[in-house]
Amino acid sequence: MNGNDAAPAFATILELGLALRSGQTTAVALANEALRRLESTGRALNAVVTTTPETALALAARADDELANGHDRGALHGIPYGAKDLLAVADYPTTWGAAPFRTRHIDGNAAVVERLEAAGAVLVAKLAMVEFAGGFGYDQPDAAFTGPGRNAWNPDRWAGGSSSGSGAAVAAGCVPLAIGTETWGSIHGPAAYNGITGFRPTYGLVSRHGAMALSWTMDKIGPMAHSAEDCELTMLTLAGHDPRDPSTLRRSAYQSDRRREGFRFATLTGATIGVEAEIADRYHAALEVFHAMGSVDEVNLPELPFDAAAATIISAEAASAFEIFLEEGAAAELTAPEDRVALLAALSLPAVDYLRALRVRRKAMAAMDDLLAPFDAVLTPGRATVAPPIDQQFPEEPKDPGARTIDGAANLCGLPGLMMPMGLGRHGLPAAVGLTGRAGSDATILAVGIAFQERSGFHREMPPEPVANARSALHPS
Amino acid sequence: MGNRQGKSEHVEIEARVALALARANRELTGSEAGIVRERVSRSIEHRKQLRTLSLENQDEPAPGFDPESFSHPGPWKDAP
Repeated sequence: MNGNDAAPAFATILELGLALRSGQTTAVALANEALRRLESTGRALNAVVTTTPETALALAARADDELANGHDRGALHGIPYGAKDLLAVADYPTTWGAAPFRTRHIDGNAAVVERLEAAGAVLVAKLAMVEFAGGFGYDQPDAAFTGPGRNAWNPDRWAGGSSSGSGAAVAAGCVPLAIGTETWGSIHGPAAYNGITGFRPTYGLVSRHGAMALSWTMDKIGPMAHSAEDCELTMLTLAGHDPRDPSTLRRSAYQSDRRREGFRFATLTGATIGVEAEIADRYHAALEVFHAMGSVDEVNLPELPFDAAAATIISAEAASAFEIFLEEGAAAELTAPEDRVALLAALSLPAVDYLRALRVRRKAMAAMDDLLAPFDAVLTPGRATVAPPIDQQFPEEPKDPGARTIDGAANLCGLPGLMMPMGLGRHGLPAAVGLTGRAGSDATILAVGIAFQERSGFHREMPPEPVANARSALHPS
Repeated sequence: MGNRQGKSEHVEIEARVALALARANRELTGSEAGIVRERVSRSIEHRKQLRTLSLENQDEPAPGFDPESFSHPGPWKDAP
């Protein structure tokens, strides 16, 4: 399996597809192995809400029968995957990570689950997440009824949020693919901290039908996997118009960008200010790889209140989405003490503040398009630090000039972004590089990621003994 | 001027905290009310940051994000 013979659990979708088609393995075998790892390593990392063995084994048997009869649905045929537990799956609870909904069932499947099933993928688990995708104002990792999301590289470190389980489950080799969502950093954070590849599509590229709404104008759904190539294979299935989600774009099929060099990059001025020294070193080394792939200029992020606008919009829309829930007092059952009350503050947010944030957004969209138009991608360190300790509160207003600010701008403006490993930082934990592109440049961003990974190989690094680490953390000898 | 602004901000914070508490269906503890107060204060800080950008009378809100309004052809076959 192309260098992963010793660790098939960490094989890519492409490698697993080759193994399936050559008869080296079967979809049922892959599903059973994924279920086994999810129940052991995945549970130890608090990455799993519900495994779905009945659905998984039925879909896997169908996939094997079809392949045996010459019916091949494509790259995802027979591939096991996990879905963040804010995506509806009819036969299993959909909890949104929140204790009040731990047994709640939603009729029907989310659009992305439907699309993946049609492509032959095999759902093996609903994966853990920060309660309500973090929209209730959590300020520490212990904010899910499944427990704090533990990092696949060191379970005493946080997996990131809110797609905690999606990040950890892929990194720990439980599944080769997970679906995450991002309103502001929820795919990119767990991807960076767990050393995997996470893609945030342009707003409107993937249907959110059947997904929990936190912020109607900022929520996105995207893949988390071992490589940019796997993210692209998944996007070929996920992208497309859906009349049930009016925000989806009316376009025809997604088309890959085959370029692997001749790109135009820019790095942000001051991108490494406030960034851990080891991450800054890895970033400068990564820039050498990008230099070999094209030109690298330096640009300044426009001085606009991106983060304030994003925070205001999310607060107002989340308070509206959960208004009745808040007034009924159901939030009292949430895990994080701050989540039980913090969003009440947004019920008194003046409408003029929300409208001002939307007016600022229009200016921000134009400014970011001007900034990005000459480039294929703007590069930054993915996060200023490696994964923080699991028992540590977040700083009140994280200051990552090169990373968090462009994350706020990109999410506010619906821009695509890729987060991928660039080696190890402090304490042997993953460091990541982030790419941001112009709206609609999804295929180009992924082409850059594929080219970078072909040259660097950082995405091949695996966590050391995740099972042993997880068990020793939970049951110290 | 500074004192007046500080006083009006304090009045707004307490009024908004009272409104939030009125919409909760239970009495909040002192520390819970403190969390609400801190988040109200943070949102006022965000307003100040938003107001650093001058807006004209006809600067309309963006109701959502519409990537199709931009010129990049996107990753689609036969993009219009």
